[in-house]
Amino acid sequence: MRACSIPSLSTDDAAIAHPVSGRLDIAAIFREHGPYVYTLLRSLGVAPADVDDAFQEVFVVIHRRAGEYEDRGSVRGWVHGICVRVALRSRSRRKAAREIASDDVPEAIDPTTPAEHLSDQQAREVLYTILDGLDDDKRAVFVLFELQELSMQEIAQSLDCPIQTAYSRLRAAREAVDAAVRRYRMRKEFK
Amino acid sequence: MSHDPKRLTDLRETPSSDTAFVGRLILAHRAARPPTGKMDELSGRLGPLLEGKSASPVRANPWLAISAVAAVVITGAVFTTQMKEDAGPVSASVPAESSAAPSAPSLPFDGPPAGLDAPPAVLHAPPAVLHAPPAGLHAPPAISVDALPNAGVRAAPSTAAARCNELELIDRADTKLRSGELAGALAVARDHEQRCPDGLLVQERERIAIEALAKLGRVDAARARARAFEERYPSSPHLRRVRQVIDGVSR
Repeated sequence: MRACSIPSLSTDDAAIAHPVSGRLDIAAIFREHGPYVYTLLRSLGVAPADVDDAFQEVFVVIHRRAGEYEDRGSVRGWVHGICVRVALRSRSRRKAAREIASDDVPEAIDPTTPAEHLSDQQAREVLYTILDGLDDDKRAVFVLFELQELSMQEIAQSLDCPIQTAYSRLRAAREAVDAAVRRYRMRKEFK
Repeated sequence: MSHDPKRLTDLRETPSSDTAFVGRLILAHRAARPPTGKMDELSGRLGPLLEGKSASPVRANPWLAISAVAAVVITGAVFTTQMKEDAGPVSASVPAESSAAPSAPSLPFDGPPAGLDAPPAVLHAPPAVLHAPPAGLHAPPAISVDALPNAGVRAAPSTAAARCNELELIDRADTKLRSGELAGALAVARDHEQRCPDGLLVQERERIAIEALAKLGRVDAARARARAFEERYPSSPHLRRVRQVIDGVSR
């Protein structure tokens, strides 16, 4: 028996189920979740140059698997789970190819810049740099909970793991992020 | 009641400076949006998947799709008259398997080729809007879905995956298959194989090629390709359809 229970279709999901059939409407998923999928992929470590391709891959998978969805939880959790897997594949491909496109090089950020003076773009780059230091499992849970604000139940569904595993990964991820932030800010002290 | 821990950005007590720093970074992420025009560009790249010949217009008004399907089956004048009087004949024109198809409504490959049996798991399911309409609604006039606006402007692809235009190729191959241009469908499938060796729609291409081979009577080739497909994609949603096709030619 699975340790994590799966939530039923949420009220929000009614908006992306077909009004007559109740089946998934992919165009509606694109409208409702597309912008978040786009930014989510970057936070999951997809290189800037690969985000468009990964986005397309996410929707190809959604299209391919829509018939198997069968109301097994929140659509949001289901879509996020697909994003996590596609991001993992994208990063593996890039690692294997060892390609570095010119637009992958992040903007150089002076670590002495106080947080309140960072632009949003700079703040995001610092965040993604910190997340790059986490392993895949911890990164996924941290991003889905802290950045995307999914519930722990949705996260367990997305990652197909027991909910207690999701909790323990979140604890470990927070510790890892704390350590990474301390390291980042120590660079600031020594600058 | 949720037992979830508080998020770092929701901590009420004074957070440590490190936590406050992370909170600032997280809020910057949450404020992020795709660049202007990006969603239109991506919508264009995904065109066939999102348009699906019935995607968003269907959601807005399922009668539009009913009208489109009926317009193909019967003449516009007869259709309009029938729809105003009684939606029954339209529902009756729907193939029996449509209500059992476990799939989403907005799909590019929205119907099985003539002469073949039940639809496969995903891509061949007819639009879900073919169900009987709610009673009491008045039918709008027949509208061709082709005449409806696209979800977005198709932008010039910029990556290797996009350069092969695989969505367009697969859509074209499937259209040829459904219209009985079997050799043409195979040719486009071969084109996809050459131009998109690392494509995302390899499963769809193989399903089309297997069906085309089977209908051309090249049974051994279809079987061999189906075996390879099953070995390579044992959990593919297209496997059911592939097996149906092979079973059909084996009888």
